[in-house]
This record gives sequence, C-alpha cells and structure tokens, in this order.
Amino acid sequence: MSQEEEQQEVHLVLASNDPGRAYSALVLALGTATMGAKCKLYCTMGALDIVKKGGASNITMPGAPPLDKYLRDAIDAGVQITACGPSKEMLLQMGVTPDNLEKGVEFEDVIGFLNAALPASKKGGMVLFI
Amino acid sequence: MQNELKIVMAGSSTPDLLQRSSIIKSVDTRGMACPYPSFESVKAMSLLNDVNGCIEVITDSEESAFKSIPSVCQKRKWQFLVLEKAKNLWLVRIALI
Repeated sequence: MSQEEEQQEVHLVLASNDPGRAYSALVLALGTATMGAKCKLYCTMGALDIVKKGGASNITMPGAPPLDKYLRDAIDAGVQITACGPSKEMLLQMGVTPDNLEKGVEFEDVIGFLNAALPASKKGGMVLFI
Repeated sequence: MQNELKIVMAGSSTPDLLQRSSIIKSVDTRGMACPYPSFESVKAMSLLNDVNGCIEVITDSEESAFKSIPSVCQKRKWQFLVLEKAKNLWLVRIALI
C-alpha cells in the first residue's frame, strides 16, 4: 500500500462488545485499509471480548461471517489493533492476560492511544468513538 | 469472447488496451458484504507486479461495481474498467497503469 502523499490516518475507539458496534468498527477499519489510509483500532475495557483469543468468533450478526474473520483480515491488512490495559489488576478481573490476547493485538493505555491520535488529528486525521 | 463485453464505466485513458490486458488474477466477490468486494480487490492488486496485466473482480453488487471499487481505484490512482457480464453481474478490470 505505497502512497506518494502522506497517509491519512483514522483512529477508532471501540467501547463495546455489542455486535452492532463491533462490526461497525471493523468494517470501518477494513474500509480505511482498503482506501489506503492508516488505521488504528483501540478497544477499551468494554470491548475486550473482541481481542481475547477466540472471543471474536462468538460475536456474530445474521448474514455476516463471524467477527473473527473481520478481525484477522484487518490485522493482516495492517490495521493496528490495541487493547486498553490500564492496570494488571483490572485486566485480571476482566479475564485478560498477555497470553490470551489475539495474535497481533497489543496492550496500550489511554496515553499511548492519545500519543498517536493527537498528532494524527492535528494533521487532518479522523478520530471516531464507536 | 470477453473482449466483446460492453464497457459500462471507464476510469482509464486507454480502455481498449485495458480490456485486452491479460488477467493475472480473478476474484469472485459475489455475495460478499461491504467492504469485502473492495477489500478483496485491493488484496488481489497487491499480487499484481506486472504493469501490463490486470486483475478481474466479479461482483453482483451495483454499489461495488459503480461506486465503491471505482472510488478505491481513483484514490489509489489505478485504472479500471467496468464490464457488463449479465444482468446484475459485472466484471471490474483493474490495472496499475
């Protein structure tokens, strides 16, 4: 996906495991990658089922493939996916450990998210909360 | 006989050349949900190293054939051609130049 001009960036914040939101976020992520723009999807505490190993396969919508296909395709297309990891204790309570995160997903706290989203929005990028 | 298919949309300065271009990869996106027809087109284009070849995308989605895939091609500065294969069935040929 080589681009001569500077790549535009789309930073998505997903705050829910609800299929209606999760599918929207991943469809937007795939669409962004398709258009050749850089995309990052930040899953907050409310959306951790998506990035837990095997979790996305349990999220479905009538007529669509399970969400894990979208997740895998997004990662393979270069979408950076991060999971909110505010503290080890909170993650433990949510049943999330580095070992059961989906391959290609990394932990990041809100400062890490903003550290990338702020400069991106300053140069015309999009930040969307879903 | 595919050369005789009707061109219904052209995003190419040399549509005749593109129509005769050899198809390196064909992708069948029939029945796929948005944004997969466009997404699979881009994926197939990444396999296209030969500037003389093209890829062919089969779609039964009018939206994909006339709006989504052309938009992606324009954004990425690719040449494209939409051919009418049958009623509600289109072939989109995409090339680098």
